Amino acid sequence: LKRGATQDLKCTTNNVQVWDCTWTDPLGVSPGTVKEVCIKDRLRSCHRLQTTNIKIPALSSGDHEVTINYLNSFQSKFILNENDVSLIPDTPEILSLSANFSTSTLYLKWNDRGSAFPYPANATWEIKVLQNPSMKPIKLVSFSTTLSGKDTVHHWNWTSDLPLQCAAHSVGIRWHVDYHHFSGYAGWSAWSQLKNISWTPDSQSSVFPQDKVIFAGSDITFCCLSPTKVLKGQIGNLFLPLIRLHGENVAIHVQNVNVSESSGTNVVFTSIDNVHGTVFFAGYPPDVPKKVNCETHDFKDIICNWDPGRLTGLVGPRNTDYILLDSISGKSSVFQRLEALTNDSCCHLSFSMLPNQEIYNFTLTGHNPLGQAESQVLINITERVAPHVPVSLKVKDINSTVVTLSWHLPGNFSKINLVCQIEIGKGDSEQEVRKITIRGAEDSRYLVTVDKLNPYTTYTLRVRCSTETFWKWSKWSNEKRHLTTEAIPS
Amino acid sequence: MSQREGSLEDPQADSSVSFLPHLEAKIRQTHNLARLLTKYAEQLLDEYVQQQGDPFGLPDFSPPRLPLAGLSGPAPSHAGLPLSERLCLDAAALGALPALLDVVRRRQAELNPHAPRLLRSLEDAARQARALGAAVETVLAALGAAARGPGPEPTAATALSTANSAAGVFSAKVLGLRVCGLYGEWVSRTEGDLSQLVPGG
Repeated sequence: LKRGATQDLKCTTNNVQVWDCTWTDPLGVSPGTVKEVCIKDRLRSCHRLQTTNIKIPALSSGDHEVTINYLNSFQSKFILNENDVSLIPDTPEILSLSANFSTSTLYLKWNDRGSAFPYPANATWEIKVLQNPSMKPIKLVSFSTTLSGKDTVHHWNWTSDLPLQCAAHSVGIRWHVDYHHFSGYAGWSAWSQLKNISWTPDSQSSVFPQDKVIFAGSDITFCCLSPTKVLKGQIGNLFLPLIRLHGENVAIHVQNVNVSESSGTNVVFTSIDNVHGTVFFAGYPPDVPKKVNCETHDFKDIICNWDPGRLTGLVGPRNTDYILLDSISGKSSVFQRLEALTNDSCCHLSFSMLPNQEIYNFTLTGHNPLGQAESQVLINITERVAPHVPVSLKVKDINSTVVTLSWHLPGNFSKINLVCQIEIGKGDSEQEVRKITIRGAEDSRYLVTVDKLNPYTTYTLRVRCSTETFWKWSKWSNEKRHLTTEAIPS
Repeated sequence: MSQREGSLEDPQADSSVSFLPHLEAKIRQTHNLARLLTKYAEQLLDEYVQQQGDPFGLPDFSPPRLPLAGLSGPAPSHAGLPLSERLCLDAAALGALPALLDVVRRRQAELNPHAPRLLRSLEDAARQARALGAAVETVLAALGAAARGPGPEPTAATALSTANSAAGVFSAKVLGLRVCGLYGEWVSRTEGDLSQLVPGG
């Protein structure tokens, strides 16, 4: 048998299980010549064919003799080893490419067709993002996943610095697979077909992003779709170099933005015949609510107030909303500063007390477009009573040394004892404070007897109350001046 | 010198004509109101510009002239119109402005909730524009030149409100600036037109 010089027997596999081998016939063998290819594995198998390509089940590890016998007595013989085989996965196919233009985020979805592979195997993906029409690569990212033997849909999203409205983009993906039982070479697949995405104008806006809320200190790119030449671009009164995009479209990039004014920071592009603009709001996420203090004045509502901490710089619809959630009852209460016109109107919330619940496990969460922060506070409301100021004080004579003092105290204190102080003033300097404990009631008048007074003497009386488990005194009531009656001559 | 209700063909041409005392007083009063509101309108514009942030108010910033459906500024061609016609146009514009100013105020309440003076000025301007429009219509009625009836108020405000909510904040700022500007222009124009009615004005 004459030995011919078979050129470059190359074997690849796209799934480790089937090898796809090709070779070039030696000189003197006309194309289509029938040949017999025999492979020695555990068994020797022979295949009669005309092409120079054969698909064979993956061979076991080690060297295998392959002989090709041509009818015209040519014979080629060579050794095939898994090490010489390249694992080139099939070209991946993108299932979908979509975009959220308001956040300039691309969303890619594809199927890894893992069912075609033995597993577990490690897949490494490479995704490229091109900016059209120049097809300039602007993003190349690679990451790994594990093939699990099932077809798995993968997701990848990417937020563009340049607003997606200002340039069409294309995305491609390729991969390679590392299977530790395969000793051959792992090669990249071909790039997938590019998927394109571009914005369809849906408003008169020509500068993007529109009305974005961003972290103070961050960097951001603004772009302008302009039919005519743009001469300058500015943020507030700061002019910035123009970055030329496609056609007359331009962009500007700013770093470390300052906190915006209340109505936002203006971004303006001036072209030869027009002015285009947008606004952004740079601020901070809510700070952790500090000094959260919850108490009740009347055992009907719990009033919580707190220090919001660092100002966010965001107002109006972008302001911080607060939610007070009691994890025990699941009830919540919301505080929206939307309508608050002044700074000092922040921050307090009213939460309707629940019958027969004394313990409240509150989580106060502040939320704005840049994030949220929370504080927890666990209270026994019976220990957080700060009664309202006693009102409509009345004094009645019992005799020349004894009077009754009554007042009204709004609130439902029927489950607790009140502790009240009665200040009895005589003249300018003499003052006495008496302390009494009274059974609480609901929205009612309280009456006590004040004895050991001097007859025919002017006293000023006032009262304040608290609870046995002391938290705070109420304010002092208004003073009541009273002249005791004259003693009856004995 | 004969006294009669007075008419608006062209009071200047017939200087012997004088209005009845109460009408003259009404004209003087309306003219004074217009003059006062012209000054307030300038203050409103300054306050508004100041609250929108740079480059608003900077010398080399000329905001885009966004279209405002339903109301435009006094056109040069108006100058050639008879006085009654001009006063009718003034009244119609003053009739449209309150709703526009209110749309601007509501948007500014979101953008500048901590600028109570601006918000109050916008509220006052809406009320004052309405008052001045009504006063001009009263003068027109007294002079036998009926006003044109409900002006473009609903459409302009609706158009602005729609544009305002759909548009971004920058457009809303620019539209607000445009409305404040129009307010000033029409109040000033009304003052000028009324001055021709004020005897010896």
